[in-house]
Amino acid sequence: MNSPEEKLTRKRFVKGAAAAGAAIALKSVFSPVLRAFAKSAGAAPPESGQWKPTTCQGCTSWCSIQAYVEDGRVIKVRGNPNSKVNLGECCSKCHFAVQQVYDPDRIKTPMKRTNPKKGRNEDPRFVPISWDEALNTVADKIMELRANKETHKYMLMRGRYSYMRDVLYDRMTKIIGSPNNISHSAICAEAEKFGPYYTEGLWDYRQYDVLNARYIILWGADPLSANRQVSYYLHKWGDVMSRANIAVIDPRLSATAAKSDEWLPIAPGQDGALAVAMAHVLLTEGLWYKDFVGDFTDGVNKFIAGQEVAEKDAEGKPVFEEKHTHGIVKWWNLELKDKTAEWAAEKTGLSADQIRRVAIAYGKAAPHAICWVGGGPSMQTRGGYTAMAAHALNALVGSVDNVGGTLKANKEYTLKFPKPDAFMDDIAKAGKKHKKIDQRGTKGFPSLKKGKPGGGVVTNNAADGILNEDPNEIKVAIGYMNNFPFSCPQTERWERALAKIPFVVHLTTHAAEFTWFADIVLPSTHHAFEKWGWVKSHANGYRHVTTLQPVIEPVWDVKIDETEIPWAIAEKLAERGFTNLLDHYKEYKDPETGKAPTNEKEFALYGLKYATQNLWDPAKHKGGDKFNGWEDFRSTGVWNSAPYPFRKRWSHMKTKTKKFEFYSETLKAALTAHATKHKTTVDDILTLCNYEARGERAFIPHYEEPYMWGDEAEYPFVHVDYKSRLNREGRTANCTWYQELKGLDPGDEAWEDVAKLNPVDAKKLGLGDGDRIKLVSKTGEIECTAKLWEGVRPGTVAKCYGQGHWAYGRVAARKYGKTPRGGNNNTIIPADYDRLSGSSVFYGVTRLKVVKL
Amino acid sequence: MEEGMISDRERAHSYKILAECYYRPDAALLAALGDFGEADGERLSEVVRNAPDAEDLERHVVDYSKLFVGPFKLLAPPYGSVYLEDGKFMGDSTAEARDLYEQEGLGIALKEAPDHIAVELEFVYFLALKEAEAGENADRDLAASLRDKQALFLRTHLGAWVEGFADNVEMNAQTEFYKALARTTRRFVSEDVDRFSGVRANPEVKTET
Repeated sequence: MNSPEEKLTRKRFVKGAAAAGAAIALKSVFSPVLRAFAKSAGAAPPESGQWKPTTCQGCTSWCSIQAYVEDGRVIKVRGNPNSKVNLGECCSKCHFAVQQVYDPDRIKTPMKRTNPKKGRNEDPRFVPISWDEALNTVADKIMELRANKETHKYMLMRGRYSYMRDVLYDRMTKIIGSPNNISHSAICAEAEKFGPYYTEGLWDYRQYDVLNARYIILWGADPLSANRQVSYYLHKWGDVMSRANIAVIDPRLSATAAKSDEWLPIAPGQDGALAVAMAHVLLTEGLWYKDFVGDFTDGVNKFIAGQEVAEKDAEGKPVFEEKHTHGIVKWWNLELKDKTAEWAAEKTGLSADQIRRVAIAYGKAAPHAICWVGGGPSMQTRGGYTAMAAHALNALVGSVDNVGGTLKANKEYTLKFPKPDAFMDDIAKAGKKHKKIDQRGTKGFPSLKKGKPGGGVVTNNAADGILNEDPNEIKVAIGYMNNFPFSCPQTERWERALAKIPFVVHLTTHAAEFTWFADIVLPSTHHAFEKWGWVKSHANGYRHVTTLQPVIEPVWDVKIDETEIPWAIAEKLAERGFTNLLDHYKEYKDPETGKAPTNEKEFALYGLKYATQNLWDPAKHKGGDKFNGWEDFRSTGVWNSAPYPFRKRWSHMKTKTKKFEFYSETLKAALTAHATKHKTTVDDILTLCNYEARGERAFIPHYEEPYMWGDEAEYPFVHVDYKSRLNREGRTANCTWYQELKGLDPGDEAWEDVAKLNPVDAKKLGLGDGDRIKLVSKTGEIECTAKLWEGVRPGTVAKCYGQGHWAYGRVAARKYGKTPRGGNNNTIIPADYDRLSGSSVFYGVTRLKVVKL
Repeated sequence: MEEGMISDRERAHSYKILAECYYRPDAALLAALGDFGEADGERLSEVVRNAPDAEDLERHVVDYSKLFVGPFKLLAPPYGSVYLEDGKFMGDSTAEARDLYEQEGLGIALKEAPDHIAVELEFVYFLALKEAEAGENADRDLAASLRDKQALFLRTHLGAWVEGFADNVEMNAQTEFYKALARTTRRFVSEDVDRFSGVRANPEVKTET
């Protein structure tokens, strides 16, 4: 009898060996045929553990961190002590990165869909394929668009990113020839940036000099949980509390509210009323900071409730001589004179006493007093004006750009990647001229980023653009580090939009709802431990540039989303005769050797060295930390800027008047440009975009009634959405630690998704703790668990964002493929916008009814 | 060799076949299993009998993917530490398995975790084949030492998690092939754990069977 080995060997020999067969074909010699193993040189001496620098992108704090790597495995993490921004600290979110990188549910290999039908109830039937097959498929689809001169039907969707982003997001999209690189920014907090931009010319998040502040008002910001520089503020909050009074404005008792002196549980959407009333109090009480704002020429306060102030005296001279601001009297006359604390008390549900008390204490702390404006009051329909009003309170107390105040980011010196223009051929140039799929800049979407009509993205509206083929259809789409059918309000639109696109590619570490609709899935590196990149952030009066580094060899067959994958696609395009993208990428030369990259690994590293050369090359040093060269910088992991130059921007702001504008000439110019472009008036634009202001009020910080979806009689509650201190931007639900520790968010419960109702409301509804309930809005419904909690304002239902995944991993769903763990807030939040900023709206917009199950 | 017992080389070879079954199924695997008649070994017959036809390959690839690759929830994580360390991936037990391979001069050649089922099965194959060689060369000391290594590895690694793993596969597989593979893997490994249970696991102390 032939032994199995002999039989196999003979047959195999005849047939010709293939991989598995060859491995099985054992000869009657003893040399084993190995597939999983290769002979190693023998037991390597065990590598002792080492702290290696990298970066946490669990939230947008972007802390510089160190990973403890032992024998090629990440064991634990800590803050990088070399950073002057996060000062060796990291927060709870950072630790989850270790569970993420070692999640058995990660995508391990390229995969393709084998079920051609797409939909929520269509199992994609993914199967593993080689990188070669995956990349060939992607390249063929792109070449087809190019052959048909319809490259504008290519789309790139970006979620979270490092600053290597432009390789994939910008350069690749342009060189292929499409206008459609769509970022996530408008579901982040563009409306928050709108406030400082149209007052002080700063389209950015601010940093806050909290250690020198004596009064801090947080507007819907919860920096001990989320928002920015969480680890820094957690680290310093004890000192801050001992030096400053802290007031938190939030319908919900947030983590920061729990560590504050005063909680103002405002009615959702009414932040603008509170802001203008506080301005009214500051002016009537004469508490504005004269060194910044200036004063009445005769020194007599004419800001008296209900009374207009003449801008000029009988001789035509201004009655109020402003120093570093513009339009204080106009603002008073157009908006503030009647906005008393009593008026605001009606709107906000707060007492007039509390409003006055907080405003006066805040004013008395001038100029070391901060209004910290978060996403809460801004990301509302009409929220751009609220952001302006609340931010303007900083100017009234002279804390803008001042010690103990609100600051911009320090200067840094990174470089942009080489320009793509020379590599854009006629097809690319023609393709790029088409209109963008998110409809930015159309009459109803001014999206006035940095003063430019259509300057900013309207992320969530891209779904409607795709569905309506307006301005055109999308045929090929790539998404990376994003999950729009989960993270964008009114999620089902994205499900239909993605199902409609014939060819979708997802670059991601974990499969999620977006992946469900993909044709090709490309496994990506985890940003914290497997990737080259860099990001910048600011706090503590400094900015740092911190590097993302591959501190471990990835377990699986993954590539870097922002560099290695676009390079690999560029190679495939070059094989097909289209070399422009690869030729462009070859310009990212290693600054140390002048050598052009020859493969994806070199490209990823050279790109980072290229962008950061001014930071590490002593010959190019421009400021901040100085290094001896690349290796010195890389092993330190982070560059710190020079300290903050206070008051340098007073009267040198990037506004039309160079001043802080209470009357925004900058917004007037932007709105007028948009109206002119559409051959209409500003009032017409504001009507179409659902704002109340008309005439001159359009250009000042002012109160607008919140616009909510749903009739109060049918939907008696207002939803309060918030972010978890544990959630890595919505990417933590598959971590067991997240579920186990969920009770660390005030009011929340481990392994649950609870909707918090005030016990007064719960009693009326006959609800008790643990009851299963349904939250129903005009646009959707979700199931979750009731929790009675005094930390929510009556009339509101607070529920944290992050649960409710229906397609993710083993932990994220209660019963995978059947029952999500709780519900996704974005299912019930309508797709609405603060159209002036392009922002999606998350707060003060959704009315609910609560149904007991 | 006792009556009814398979030879050491056959045993080694069976581990190899099982290991190969935990890669993405392809034509080569089907051909190899097709060549592997029932007469060649009762121990694997259930797997061989349920091997898919070429026309039915895609359904099996989909099943394979959902069980062992993903994406989304991995129905039967093929990683030792997930079972040995309460759901953890790349845990201390993973590092320990890798150390054991390195002591044999073996490094991982796959883009996979060192405690992947295919890797662990192949490691036992490697040791078993070496043992067979030693036995045929009448090198009793070496053979005994290799048996001890198998015993240790089966007791602390593969044998310690094969039950939970095979349960997951059997429960979630949509195809008879993978259900059969689960049963066969469980039985085969468990029998060896039992077989070796009389053997002292400490490699320093060599004992005769």
